[in-house]
Amino acid sequence: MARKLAILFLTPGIFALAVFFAGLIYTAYLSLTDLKLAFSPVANFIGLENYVALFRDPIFLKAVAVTLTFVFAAATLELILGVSLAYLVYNSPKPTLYAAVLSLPLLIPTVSLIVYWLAVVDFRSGVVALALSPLGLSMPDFLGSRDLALWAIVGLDVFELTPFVMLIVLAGLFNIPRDIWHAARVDGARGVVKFIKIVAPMALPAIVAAYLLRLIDAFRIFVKVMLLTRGGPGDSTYTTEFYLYTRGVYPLDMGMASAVSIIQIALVVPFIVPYMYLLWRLWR
Amino acid sequence: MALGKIALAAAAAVAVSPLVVLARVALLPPGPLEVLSTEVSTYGLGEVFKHGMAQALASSLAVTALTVAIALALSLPTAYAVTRLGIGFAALFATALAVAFVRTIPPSSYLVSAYVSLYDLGLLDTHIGLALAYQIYAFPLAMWLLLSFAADLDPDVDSAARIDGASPTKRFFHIFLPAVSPGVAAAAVLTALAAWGEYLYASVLMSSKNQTAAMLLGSLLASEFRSEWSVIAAAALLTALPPLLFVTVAVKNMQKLSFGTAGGLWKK
Repeated sequence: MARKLAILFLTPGIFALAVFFAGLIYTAYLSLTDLKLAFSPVANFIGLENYVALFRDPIFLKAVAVTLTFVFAAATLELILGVSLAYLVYNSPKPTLYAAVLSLPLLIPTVSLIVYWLAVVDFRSGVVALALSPLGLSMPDFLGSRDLALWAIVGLDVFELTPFVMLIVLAGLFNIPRDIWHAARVDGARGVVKFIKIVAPMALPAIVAAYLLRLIDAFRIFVKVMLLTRGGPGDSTYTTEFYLYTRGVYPLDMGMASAVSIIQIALVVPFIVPYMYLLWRLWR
Repeated sequence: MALGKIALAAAAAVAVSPLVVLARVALLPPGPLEVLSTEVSTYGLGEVFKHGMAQALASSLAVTALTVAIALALSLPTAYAVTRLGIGFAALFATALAVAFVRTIPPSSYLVSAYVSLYDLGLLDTHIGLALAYQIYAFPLAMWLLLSFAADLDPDVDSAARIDGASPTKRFFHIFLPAVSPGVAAAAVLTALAAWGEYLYASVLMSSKNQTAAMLLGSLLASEFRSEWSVIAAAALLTALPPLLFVTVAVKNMQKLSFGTAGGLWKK
């Protein structure tokens, strides 16, 4: 009886997990078919044709390159800034207050931040342009430039998600026993040196977890690309998600969209494995 | 460490600037972007409500509420069972790893699966359909949080109740739920934030008839309104305010909860 009740309680969550795993398998299966919902509900098996077509498409290959550039640039900048902010907040007189204020970008919907960013990077009358003009400097047209557009998107991502890294690292810092801090002071270590030599190693699991999590999540930039640049100028901000949407989901080419989905997962896996390993080690 | 203080103050100002900038631009009269102007006009707000802002906000509210309710309904019983009903540590561990794995998959990679499923179920362009699809964002978050909170509870309280003859159902409602209420609040806030501002799934799985606030903003940006700064800023500001309100309310209530004995007594 107790066993039956236990299974009843378990069911909702386990069912949800099963649905997600089934969804992955279904997507993998669809990637081997030519399902185009705009034409027919029938999915014919075509083996690896979708994948071959993708690897032969220079735009897809460009999308992979753009995505990986974005992921590494954004995550690394967020890591450096996030750790620095965590350090400053930890040593501030009111850490909770500062942490709360600095987390505001996380609470504002990304779509709203996009409008804010447009008003900031507008090269004629945006906030930054206005700040630079009394100094006699002018701003390049980020969103209109093939070379700079991606960095405008990186900038918004860093603005929005640095607090995420900061919060994780802060939690790690607060978990360090007070005696470690006191021992560091007794040893005469000062300020930043103390931080790097003694504290950072203890907060390292939190720092690594935050970095891995950002690398994993940085693939989720569809809305920023769609609403800021639409993949342009040219294809300089074409990401895998954007490709998935414009060439897969929008024309209802589900077979090809599934192949892009699977390739995207494959790109994230090198970050998922160390992350799961880290969780395993932490939970032991 | 004066440099540190200056850096923190600057960072705080930057963090708060979106609300300031959006408010200033939303209240601009029609025309070019003039951030430093002191003119005030409700043109933007008026236009935005003429283009469906109220309906879009209502739609977002409905979808978000459904998403949170479903996520909690899926996570709470399982969190209880895995940590308290003698299922074993291995099962807890396996569940946690499975949840962590699902959380790391890019949601866009599930989009095809979600679309075909909703298409087959006839749930495209419905609030409940989108809320179900949003479980890809919401469920791993809620499940992970609640597993952590549940695992942290003092096992003796539940054991005492069990020995006293209380059924698992009674213990779930009268002991477990009150004890994890801070976790429930946190899960509700985080899943609500994720669902409210989401754009990709909404734009694919909903039509413009039932559009969410995020979709409305997206369509404004894709139209001639992109250069009407006060209109897009008004939409952006109105989209940003409900989640901020919700977080403020939740945080105030969480502080009340953690000072009460309900959570405190039963933590290890």
